[in-house]
Amino acid sequence: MISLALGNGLTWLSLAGSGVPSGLIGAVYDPKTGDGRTVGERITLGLRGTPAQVNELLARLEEKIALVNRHTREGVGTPLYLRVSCDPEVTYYYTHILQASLEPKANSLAYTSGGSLGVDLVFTRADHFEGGQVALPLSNRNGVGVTGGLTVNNHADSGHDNFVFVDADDLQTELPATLRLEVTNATVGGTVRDLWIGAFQYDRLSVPPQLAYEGESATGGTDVSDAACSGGAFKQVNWSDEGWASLLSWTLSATNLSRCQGRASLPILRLANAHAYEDLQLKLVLKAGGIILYEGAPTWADPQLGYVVFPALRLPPASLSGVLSAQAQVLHLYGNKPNSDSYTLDLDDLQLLPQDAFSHYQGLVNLAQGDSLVDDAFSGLVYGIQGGYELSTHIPICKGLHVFAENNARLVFFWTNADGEALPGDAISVRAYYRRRKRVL
Amino acid sequence: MFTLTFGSREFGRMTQPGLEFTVQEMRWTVEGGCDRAVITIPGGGWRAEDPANLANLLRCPVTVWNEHGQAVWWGYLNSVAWDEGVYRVAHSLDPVANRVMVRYTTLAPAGQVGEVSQTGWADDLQSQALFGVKELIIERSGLDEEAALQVRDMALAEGAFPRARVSRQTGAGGDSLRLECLGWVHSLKWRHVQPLAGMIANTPPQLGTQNLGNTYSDLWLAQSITPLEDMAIRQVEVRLRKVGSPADDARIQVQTDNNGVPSGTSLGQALVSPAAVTSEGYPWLRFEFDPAVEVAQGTQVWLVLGRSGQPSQVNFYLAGVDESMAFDGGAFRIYNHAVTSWVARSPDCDLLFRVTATRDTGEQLQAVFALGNQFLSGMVVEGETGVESVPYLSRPATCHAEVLRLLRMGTGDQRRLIATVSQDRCLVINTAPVAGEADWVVDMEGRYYDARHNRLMPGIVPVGRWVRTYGGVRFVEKESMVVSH
Repeated sequence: MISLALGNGLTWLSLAGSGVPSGLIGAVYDPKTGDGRTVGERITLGLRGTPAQVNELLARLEEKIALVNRHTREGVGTPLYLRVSCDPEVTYYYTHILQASLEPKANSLAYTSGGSLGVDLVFTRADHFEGGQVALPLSNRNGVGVTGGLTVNNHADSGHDNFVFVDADDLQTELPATLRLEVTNATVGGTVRDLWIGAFQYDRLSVPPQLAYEGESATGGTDVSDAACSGGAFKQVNWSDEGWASLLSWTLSATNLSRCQGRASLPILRLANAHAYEDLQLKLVLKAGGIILYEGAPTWADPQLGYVVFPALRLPPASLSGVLSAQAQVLHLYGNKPNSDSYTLDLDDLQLLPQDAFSHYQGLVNLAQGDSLVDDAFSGLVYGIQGGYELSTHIPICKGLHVFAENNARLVFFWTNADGEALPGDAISVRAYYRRRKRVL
Repeated sequence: MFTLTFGSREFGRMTQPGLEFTVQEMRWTVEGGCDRAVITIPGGGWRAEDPANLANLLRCPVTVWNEHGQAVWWGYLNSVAWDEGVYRVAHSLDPVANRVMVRYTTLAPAGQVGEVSQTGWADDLQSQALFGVKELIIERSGLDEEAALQVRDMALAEGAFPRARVSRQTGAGGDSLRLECLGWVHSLKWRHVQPLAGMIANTPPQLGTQNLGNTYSDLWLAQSITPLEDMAIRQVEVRLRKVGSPADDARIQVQTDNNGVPSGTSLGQALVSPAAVTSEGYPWLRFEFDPAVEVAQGTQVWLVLGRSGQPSQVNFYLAGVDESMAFDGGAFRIYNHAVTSWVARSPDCDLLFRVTATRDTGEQLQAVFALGNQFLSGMVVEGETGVESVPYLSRPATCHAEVLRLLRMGTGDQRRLIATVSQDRCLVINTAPVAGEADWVVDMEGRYYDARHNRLMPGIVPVGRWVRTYGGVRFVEKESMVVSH
């Protein structure tokens, strides 16, 4: 049985199937596909009844149309959807209506005089359908298959995870499925200001690469024990050369590089202690056999921040066939200063934030313990929740995460507090929901 | 896929307008990096109140991000325009002027030229507090002072704040809302500079001559000057001829002041052989100082002109002077050895002279930037340019124009200088790379790769780089990215 309805998720005007208002005798709908973003369609509606019944139906349709157009034009109200079901289990799929109008069919005046009317509901919608919201089980070493909020630490080492794992077996989708993520600050007395989330997505036969590199595992500098740091230690480098100098390096093994498959990552360097140099620049350089293969743009190391975000880079940087393993490469951290003074940097770790899906939120209002940030890719909204109330707390630079069909996903988190520090001891709680997305019903 | 964020005018974060912006085009140049961006909101995507709300964001920082969360373009909102039926309405910072001055020539009888004069600056402090200082210098001729002040005050009253400008469209009107953003380097157009450290001169028509070294009563001639800025005197020119055949050199010393006369203490001197001095006319004769003579701002010194030999009534020098006394920056004195003192000439006059200083253009860039910048966080000139020029402008120019003028002089080894405003708004000036060293590459589809053949991230362009194409190698001075949607 085909079911069609127009509504906002709470109230529905049924066009076909059960609950059809009296006077509406039929609806014909043939879904089409569009350009990948939107598609223009029509539903032909047959109306029959007293003039009062027909007019009431037309009024109800026009009201929904006005709500659709007003939301699209002015952002007022809530989005309206076409709800469709065509299977015996009555599984509903939804598609966002962006613009709509009513058009009379041919000879409508003659039919109207006979007590019936044919009209087309002409509309533009998103070029896909999405299922109902489903809680997505999340796993890491803080819990397995958790849907009620999984703890995520602000670093990854032998005892902590800064990611959640999504099992492909828990996903039923044809197209990449939109996520609704709810991130709640779980740090006592802590704050969440800026937040980055990156996803590494891989099929069941693959394994994710190493994405976090401890400072103390790098070549160069001196290891310093510090229980507050990721891995319980940081790397201290001291140098006085004017100009660019290699400070540290990490070997990216052939296995790890091969697993990256040329994907983009956003490197974020966490400092164990803030520095005080106004003129310090850093950059990342990839070498193989001493030959430079990639040289990132110089990035100013803002002394106000406890981290440095480098330009995104692909690993391996140039395209390879993937028939053989990628050759191991060495990732160097370079520093540049305009004098021969002695500089010291305390480096905790380097996070390669994956970018198969990626979001970044700049904090306007810090999240206190218990406050949440919601990114709902279905509605396209990003907002905070403070004390049970909604508030615009963050500026979304990139938003709207999704997960691929038939893929596992690792969602990696990195965030800072109100003081611009990325404290490894901080924690958040993450809930995720997804909606099955398909183009053809 | 690019996204857009606004910052507050104080460079902090702010709540976003909540509109779906579409980045249409971004442009970068070697003369400032981010140059211009055009952003639209298609018809139907904005509400009636949105244009006014966006107009309230003029001069707010704008950043464009790529899908990797990397800032690729940054600057400020310069104008907002939208269609209302057949009319185009625009709010723009372009015509805004909240600090105005009028430079004018005074009224003069027919056939004569008036004197150049200028009003003081008139300021609208309310507008300046909101947008920053945006200067306008109006040039007029044939005004009296009162009229010049009226022109100035009218311009300030009309230009202090952005006003809606309405124009009728020739074609069918659209319904999109269009934002134009400019790179921060354009904010250097907002203020004027007039470097004066490069020259002090008195060059009116010659009116009078003065013997030099004819007798002991005209053994030395001296003209005092007081630099308005620190000055490194490289050369002094005077109008000089010889009488007879003097065998000794003409000489100029820069001497310190001692109670209003030359002290006898030389800071530096320069000689010119008599063979280089003509016997006809009064050509400009150049004396070059090596090393340059450093004179601090506001310090009075004396240019002491003499000869290296003894006086002679047959073989001596004659200097051109100005008895109209047009120069008001110093005094003229003659050393009379007979009475062993410096005396005033009768009639009094000023020496005709040109004192010029040169300075590394990199240092000049720093100085000009310090005078004309208000929004950038700093400036870094990586190394000296190796080019010296005279830091002097006879009339004010925008800081932007002066920076570009100096930039375009390049380096001493004939390489280009390129300027980039970094995301943290620091103006960085460095030398363009040499062709063949770390060239970037463009393929047949127009995709760019860096020197290591790594494909560039979206929105990263090779401006200021040599790019190898199938047809050769070219230097990319500017690049536009038209974003397809």
